Amino acid sequence: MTVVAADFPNDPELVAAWRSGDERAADQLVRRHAPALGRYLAAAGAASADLDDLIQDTFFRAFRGMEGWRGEGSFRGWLFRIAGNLLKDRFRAGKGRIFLAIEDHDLANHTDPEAELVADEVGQQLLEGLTRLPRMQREVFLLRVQQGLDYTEIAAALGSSPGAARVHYHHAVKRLKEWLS
Amino acid sequence: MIECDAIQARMPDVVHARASWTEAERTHLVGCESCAKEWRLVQSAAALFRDTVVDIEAIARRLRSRAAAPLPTPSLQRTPRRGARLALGILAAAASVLLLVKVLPNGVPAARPSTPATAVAVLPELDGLNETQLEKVLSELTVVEETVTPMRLPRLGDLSEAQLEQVLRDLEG
Repeated sequence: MTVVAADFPNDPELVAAWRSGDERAADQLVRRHAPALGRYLAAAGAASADLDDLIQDTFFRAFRGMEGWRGEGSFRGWLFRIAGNLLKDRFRAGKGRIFLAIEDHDLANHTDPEAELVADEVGQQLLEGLTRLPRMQREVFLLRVQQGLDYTEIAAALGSSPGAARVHYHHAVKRLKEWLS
Repeated sequence: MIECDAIQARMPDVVHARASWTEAERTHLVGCESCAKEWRLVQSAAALFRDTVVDIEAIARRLRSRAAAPLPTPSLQRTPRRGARLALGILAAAASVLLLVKVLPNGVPAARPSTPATAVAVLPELDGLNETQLEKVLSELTVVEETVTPMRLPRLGDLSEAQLEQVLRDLEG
């Protein structure tokens, strides 16, 4: 039986539709999650020129290994996990360096020019601070604050526990606050 | 600055508009340097790369073409597993060490009778011995050699299924 995606399907419904051969479901999943993946990868240190390739590889791996996702965590969390691993591989290939391509439009976007100036300055420092964090702390912090995932989702995405994710977050915030002082 | 965790747990939810500050929390935020600083940090981090542009259509298109492409055909010739090769190497090395320990129980280097020139070069103390003494040393070495049963190198085929699995688990983690 072919599963057809509903008008506003959730991720498990789209995944089920894709598994049964509905290619549009895959397109919908890409449209739904690619922008968040792009933001996450950029903040985690991916070069802007590599973003599209990394996102494409993330989805390719996800679709190829869809059987591995059984819906315990969120589909987006699973994508973050794959994307994080791909980025880690790239860092290794590049001898561990983190490439942060920071441009003006990458930082906070406010309507108040003065607030924008302050936010941009903090944002710039923040990006530098992020590069100094251990990988787990950086990823937990970004998933929690930039992506808004809760600790259970973060734990599922990073193969950790909610308690450990909470500790990583705490350490990351403490270090970043010190860095910004 | 004293670290304060009065409202920090709620910051990510508030910044993502899943919650809002209560009046008491708002007042706290104004008067607490630590929380104000953390709130600025959270706001900045939430806004990082907000305007990142990804070419969704191109990504979806390339994904479709990659999915349609046939998977590479696996080679018919089996390649030995890296772990198995490693295991074989380690087993051979271990067997060599065992053999040496067996032949040289006290760590004394043994000169083989068939290579006297090498023995002389390696053991200069033999230079001072006369022919009779050398013959005696040689005969003793021969006795030692005859009493040692040559040890056959173990092969992977000698291991049971369980032992093989254990070796692979140890090697591959």
